[in-house]
Amino acid sequence: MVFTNYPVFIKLINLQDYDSVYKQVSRILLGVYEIGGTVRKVTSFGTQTARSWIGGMHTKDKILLFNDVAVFEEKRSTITVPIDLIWIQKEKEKESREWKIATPEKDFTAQGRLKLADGSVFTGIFVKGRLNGLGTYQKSINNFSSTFYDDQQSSERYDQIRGVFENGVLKGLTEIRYANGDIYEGYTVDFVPHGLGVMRSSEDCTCMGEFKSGKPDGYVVIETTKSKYFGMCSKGTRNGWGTLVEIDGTVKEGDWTDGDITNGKLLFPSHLDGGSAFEYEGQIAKEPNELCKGSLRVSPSVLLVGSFSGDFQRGSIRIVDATIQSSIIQSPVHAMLNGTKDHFLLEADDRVSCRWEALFDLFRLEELGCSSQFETSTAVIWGNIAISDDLHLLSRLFNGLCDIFINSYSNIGTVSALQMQAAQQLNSFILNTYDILKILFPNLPASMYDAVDSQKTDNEGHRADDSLCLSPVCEFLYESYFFHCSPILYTIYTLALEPNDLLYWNRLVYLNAHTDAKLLNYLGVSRELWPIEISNDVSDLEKAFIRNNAREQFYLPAIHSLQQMSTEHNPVRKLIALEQTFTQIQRCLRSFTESGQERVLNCDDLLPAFLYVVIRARLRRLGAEITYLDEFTRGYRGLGQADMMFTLLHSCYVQICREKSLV
Amino acid sequence: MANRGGNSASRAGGSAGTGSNRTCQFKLVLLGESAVGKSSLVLRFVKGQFHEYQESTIGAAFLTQTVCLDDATVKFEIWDTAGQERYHSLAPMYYRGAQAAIVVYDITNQDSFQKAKNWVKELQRQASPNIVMALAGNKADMANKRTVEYEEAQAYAEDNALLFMETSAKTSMNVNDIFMAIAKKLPIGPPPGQPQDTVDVNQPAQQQKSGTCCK
Repeated sequence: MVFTNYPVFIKLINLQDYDSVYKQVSRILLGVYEIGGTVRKVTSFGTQTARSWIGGMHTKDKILLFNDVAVFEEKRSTITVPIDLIWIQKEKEKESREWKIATPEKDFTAQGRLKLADGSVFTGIFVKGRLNGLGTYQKSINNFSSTFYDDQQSSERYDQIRGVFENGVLKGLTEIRYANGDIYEGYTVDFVPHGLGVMRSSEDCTCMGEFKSGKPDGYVVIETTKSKYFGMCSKGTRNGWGTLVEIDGTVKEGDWTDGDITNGKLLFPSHLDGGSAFEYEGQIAKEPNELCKGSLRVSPSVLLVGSFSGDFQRGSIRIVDATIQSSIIQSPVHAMLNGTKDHFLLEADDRVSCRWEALFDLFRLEELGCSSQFETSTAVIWGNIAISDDLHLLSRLFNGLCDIFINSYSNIGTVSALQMQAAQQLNSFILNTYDILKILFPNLPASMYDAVDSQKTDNEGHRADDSLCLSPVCEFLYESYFFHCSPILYTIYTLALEPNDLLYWNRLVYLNAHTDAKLLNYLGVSRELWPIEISNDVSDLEKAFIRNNAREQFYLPAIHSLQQMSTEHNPVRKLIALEQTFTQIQRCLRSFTESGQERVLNCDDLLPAFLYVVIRARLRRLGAEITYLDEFTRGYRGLGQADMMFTLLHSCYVQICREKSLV
Repeated sequence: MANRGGNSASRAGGSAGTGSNRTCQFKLVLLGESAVGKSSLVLRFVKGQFHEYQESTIGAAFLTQTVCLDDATVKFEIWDTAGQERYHSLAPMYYRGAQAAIVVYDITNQDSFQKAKNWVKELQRQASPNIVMALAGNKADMANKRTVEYEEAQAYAEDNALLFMETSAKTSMNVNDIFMAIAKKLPIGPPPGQPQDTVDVNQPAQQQKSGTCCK
């Protein structure tokens, strides 16, 4: 047993009933450590009991380390502590936060504390050695390594980071309480503010907005006791377009560089003690002597245009060289009639409307689970908000119904006799769930079998009138229900269709023993519909040979598409796989036939070709698949194309079962 | 997921917008020996005057076309069947639930007429009792090679209460007519409140705004 340079084991369970576990025959001694020797490096206990106990030991006392207990030997008496030992080891680079944890058990889940050599402490629920769920990370900001004893009460300073861990990595919203009193709430990366968040610093400064690597970066609102800034920041200071409002009513809007405004508008309000409002617009210099080009409006009617200098920030502006442009004063009533705006107002443009867009993007991504690049189906989004979220009331209903279904039809309930009832039950669950959804969302279509996007039009503006109703509104319900219930349901179907599938399989194995050419010929697929890709540098004789002896060369993409069908649990997806198969058949033929003489497949052509694909796809339990598909897509197949495709598949199955011999 | 009208309007095809006009969907199945021109007939009909032709995923094996009558729009969902003898026994799966059937034969092929008669017999026995059946003698443009006399077929059709026409997919003779004749014989939605067995008709609730489908 090699203990490496870092704290090597930690205690994860409470220390009770020590004595009852002592003296077992099968126990293996792993090591003996003397207090005061190397053991000082290797022990660090997280509980009061152990700590106080070790503290009281004499230097010559020993710790005997067994595979499942540690025995503390003190003069004449011994105390045994049952422990779940884990060995942790830092992986490769010193800076990485990856820790390798080895345990006597294969995996363990326990409430625990993990303390690192630098004094950082992880607290929470560990699953397989990594924090999972709500947890805390205390990041030590002291430079020296922690001492032997645990030290919650010591004066050690640390940043406390709280959030939800996923496999050891902090995800989502986080709260950081810094040692200096600052509090950050928001998104983080690597325990540092990154993304949207709010930083409340102890110096009465609140910063709300986007952060990058711990600093305000992007659009932020910074509030201090004296001012409020709305605008862009980078690297923690005002950079870019922004507006600063000061406590005395001064407003500065424009381009900021490293905290100072360099170009823009300054509005100085009228003061109670005389002095009227004025507005400066133009370059703004830091140095009082620097010349700036701009315009100064001293009253609604008087505008000075030219060069200025002075202390712009304080409002003492010196006119260096300017011309007066006066205009007729409009009475407020006039202004209202004409719709002209007061001069002393800031423009509200797109820069305002796009300020918090990051928040909406984040919501789309984090909460709804749809990324901006890909179109996410409504089903997925629905699944994310309602059904996957354990706290959502729909999710409670959904989980309850799934439990009922699974408990009803599992174990002894999994018999073929219950096939129809189980299907009916699940269908009624789905229908009733949809009815409840309609209460919450009255705009949902009356029938859950309606297509999601029925207004979809194709490129030429036709209504996609004849398109398949392959995405019914209820798809997201199907997705969730079948994910949970299909294993049991499918087993029932398999059992119920076992005799048919056995017959089918016998015939199928027999049919599959033949070469492609023989099979196609036998099934009556016309020779024009034998698509095969043979590279051009093969001689004609060889081509004929390849053609005649090929196995699984024809319609290969279609065969793969059909095989997809049995990997899906959701009947809607199964039907889509079936449609894909037909699309692939058409594609195979299109690439095979020379351009110009495109052939429209009729049923005389399609049925044998599809039958070939079905035979070659070798779906083991096709009968069960078909019955399953039939039961759960009947609602929206209608009389349409989807139904025709289903009937083609079904008739192929029947045909295969009827095949007697291959001549 | 917009208003409910969305779907029904899209299914209503050509009739969208005319408030009182109903759209009824019917399944029509094509039967007949291979090479009598079943699919040419239906392609001619579908590509014809009403709509531009949209290719479906399964080629000509499934096509739709709408026909406008005075008081309703009939949408045909046309199912082709394989005509080969070896797949004959699968046909019931295709004509199950069909409200109309066209049995096609080739006027230059006596054998195909015999097959057509067998189809008629089978439909009378096994298909839904209210099915509207039509007999189409295709390839009428090749009258010089005729082996099935018009009168013979006509008499047979009368005996069995079939609609009968000689058609030509090539010249499009009688193609639209035969579909139109079928459409007229179909039970277009009865007065509201009287549901009928053969067709799932418009639910009264859905009739208010836009043309709905029978679905």
